[in-house]
Amino acid sequence: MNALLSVHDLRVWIDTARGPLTIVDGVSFDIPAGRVFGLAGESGSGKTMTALALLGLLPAGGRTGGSAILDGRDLLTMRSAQRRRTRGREVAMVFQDPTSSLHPMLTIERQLTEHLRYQLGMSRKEADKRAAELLTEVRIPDPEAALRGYPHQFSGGMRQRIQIAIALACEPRLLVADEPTTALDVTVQAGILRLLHRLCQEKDLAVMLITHDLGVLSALADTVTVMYAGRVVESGPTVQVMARSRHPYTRGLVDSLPHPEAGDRALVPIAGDPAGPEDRPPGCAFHPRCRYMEPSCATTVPPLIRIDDGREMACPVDPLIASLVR
Amino acid sequence: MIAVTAYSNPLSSTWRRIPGAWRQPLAVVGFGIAAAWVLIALLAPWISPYDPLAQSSALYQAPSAAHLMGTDELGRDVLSRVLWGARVSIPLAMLLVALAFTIGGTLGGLAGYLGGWVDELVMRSADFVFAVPTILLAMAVVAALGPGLFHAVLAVVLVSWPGHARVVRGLVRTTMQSEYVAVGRLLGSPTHRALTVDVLPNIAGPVIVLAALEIGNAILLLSALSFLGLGARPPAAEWGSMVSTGAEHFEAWWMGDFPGLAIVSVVLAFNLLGDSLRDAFDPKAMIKARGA
Amino acid sequence: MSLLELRDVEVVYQRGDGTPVPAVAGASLDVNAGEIVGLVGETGCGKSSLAKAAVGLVPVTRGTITFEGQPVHLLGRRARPVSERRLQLVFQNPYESINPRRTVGAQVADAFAIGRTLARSNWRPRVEDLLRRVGLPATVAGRFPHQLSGGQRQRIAIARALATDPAMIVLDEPLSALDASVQAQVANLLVELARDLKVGMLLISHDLAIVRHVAHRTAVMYLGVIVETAPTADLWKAPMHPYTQALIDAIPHADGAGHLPAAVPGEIPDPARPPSGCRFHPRCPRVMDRCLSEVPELVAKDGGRRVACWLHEIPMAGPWAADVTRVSP
Repeated sequence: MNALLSVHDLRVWIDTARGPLTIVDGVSFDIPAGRVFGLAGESGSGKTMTALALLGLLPAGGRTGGSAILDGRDLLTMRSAQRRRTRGREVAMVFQDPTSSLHPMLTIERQLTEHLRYQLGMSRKEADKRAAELLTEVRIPDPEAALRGYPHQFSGGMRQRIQIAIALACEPRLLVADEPTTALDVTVQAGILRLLHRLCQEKDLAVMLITHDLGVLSALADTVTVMYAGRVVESGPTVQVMARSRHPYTRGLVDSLPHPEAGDRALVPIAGDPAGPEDRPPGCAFHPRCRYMEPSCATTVPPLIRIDDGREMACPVDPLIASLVR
Repeated sequence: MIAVTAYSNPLSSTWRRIPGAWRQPLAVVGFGIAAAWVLIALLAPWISPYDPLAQSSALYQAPSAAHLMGTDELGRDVLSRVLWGARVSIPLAMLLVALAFTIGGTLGGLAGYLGGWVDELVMRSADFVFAVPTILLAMAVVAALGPGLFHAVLAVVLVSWPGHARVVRGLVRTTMQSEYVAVGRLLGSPTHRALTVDVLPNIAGPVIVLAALEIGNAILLLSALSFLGLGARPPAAEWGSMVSTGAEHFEAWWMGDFPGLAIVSVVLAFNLLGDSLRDAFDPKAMIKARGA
Repeated sequence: MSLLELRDVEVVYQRGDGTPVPAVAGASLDVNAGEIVGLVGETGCGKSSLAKAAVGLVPVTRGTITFEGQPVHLLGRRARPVSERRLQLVFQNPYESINPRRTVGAQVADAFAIGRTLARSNWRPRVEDLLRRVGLPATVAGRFPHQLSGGQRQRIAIARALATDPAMIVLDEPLSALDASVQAQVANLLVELARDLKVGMLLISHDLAIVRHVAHRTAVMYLGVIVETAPTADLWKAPMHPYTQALIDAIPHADGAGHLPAAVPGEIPDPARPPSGCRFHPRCPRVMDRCLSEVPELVAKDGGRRVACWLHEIPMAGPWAADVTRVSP
């Protein structure tokens, strides 16, 4: 199966005063065309940096290693001119906070048509027409009036839809969405999730959905890769990873989050705090918080092993067996 | 009454960050030059080769082994006058900033804390001072009081206090609205305790930075006033008036250039010092940025 | 009489251009000792304003707030009355509600210093006691906030409130700023504290799902009014108000089954210009003619439940009175 985007051993470092800090430590995944790929993780997991690396938006002092092949070209080693053409045309990004990712002083029309005219060379009239179409697709009421408006006149949910419209203006093949609904009310989030679902199906759009919210991933993602402290700990089809998690972190996460279908079962938290890039424990980064920890976990980084077709997991202690034994 | 328990030391978290700031080369340079000048100001009577007021017959001598910075129109050693000039400019600038800071800081603090008509009064007075170009206002004050270094100092204090007032007022207002002050109030803290325990430690940083930067400014203003003949009177060895005299004798470049360089180096040093202090006190550097 | 009573509370803000915004438009709520009441709602519902009003941080334009039988005063220049110090508030953002320049131990000890309730020599042991109580090691006392994680800081904020030996704590979104895996820790801590110390809690949250695991009773707020209150289990089993049902249906399920949560049509209106009659009527799937013109009152039902909805207002008592038909999505 030919993947649209094939990421292999991606590494991201930031140069700090105290030397290079590893944020992403060898992450690999494939995103098939037209499917939703979920990247799950909390703060410190490196998931946002992964996305920024793919789009060439790393902060100053950021360096990458590994490869990210999109259509035969490596996104990480592109020259800036080529990267500018790729961003927007092939890969687009939607950010968490629609308040700060839309320019407060430009009309919606300006922000929407900018890409159309720069990337696709459309005339003003053509671009305006297309912009109105885009707003209709994301279900903004009264698109003509909306084009003349400014971001502050719209609610959070509307702004997120506008952001999605801008991202899709040049019909990219891959949409990277970093916590697209985290800042929104739950009822508004439901609307955005449905919108993304519909757009995916109608446009054969691949989506890389980055979030800590397992419910959001569950609703949209076909496959999920779970990251902890810069590394992949588990990956596979969504239903397998959520309902039959194998890695202690994934299991811990599922058990500690309240979800409607779980009923009144008590929340079982994971002890300690998520490890950030500066305080990564040696060996398996999760071992200080892990119920199934063994002495070897503190010294050796567990490799990612295939446990099934399309499923991988990085833990030598299989919790299923361990919990039977104890 | 401040709750100083066994653990608390309001500024210690900030002081601990300073060693980090010293790793910046510019900070070290700034501190070094400023410290050197302060030392010079203290030790001038002992380290200067000649009496700064002693006239001689060697007029307009170019820099030589006997006079490293040459001599001026009355045969006085320029180097000694530059060194002694530090004794005038630096202590005066520090005194000046201390005064402006005390007056401005108190007024600004009261304005921010009390609000209402006090705030209006203080801020409109400050606006009045801001509306007039600094040097013109200072000149006007000195002209009214009569020339002389002491009056020049008063003039600079008068034009400097609003800057301090505005900064302190802003900081006090913002900090008073922060959530941890609200928490303290909910615990039963009276507002004056909130001021001492919560507000002061949090504004100390920016305020100290402003003071450091203002020293450079003060030296510049004092020198400017003296350059215009409104500050130090001859035969006092003061940098500004030395530059003024030097400007009239362009061929004897050493008469004006060396005092000028002295001014430049001191102002630069205190500016670098202020900037690096600002970086050290930056609270954002203290909060671990999470989210990757 | 309850420990904390809010009756017909109204909180009005002035917007920048002068328009009055009624953030809270008449809300009534009770919280008893040892009970956790969850107040849930989305943006613009006024829950944060209600929380702040409940402790006297913002003024109330109408209605009453009573704590231990006494009215709660607005916090002014004077120090807060001693009797009210047993009513505390924990803020949402643990990065902003703790003074960055003081050690956390000193801040936890503030209640002793201010209230002079404890001899100086006893402060340290008591602070360490409180820290342990919130699940932190005693050594944390000498640290500064930037050396602690978000979850640890929120625990410090709770310890600080506990130092006043409170009877009631209002918590304004205490879990929102925390990492997913840490939320459960603090949620469980709150349940423990309410149980062990008999402290009443009013827990404000936008997350209905986590409130389910913490609160004994849940109240749902929409655009400045409370639309339903019920024991939490009953609320989830059989929600009475269509908005409650919509909230429940909008929550994604984390079972990997690809279930798309249901959206609610329309947008939350501007609180300055609420719809006529029932505020939810423009978006309600079960709207009737009555709903456009008449404002439903919060009415008591069986089992300690209250709901403000014309679907449940039967003009006469009868076999239908206890009918709690679920609203289909």
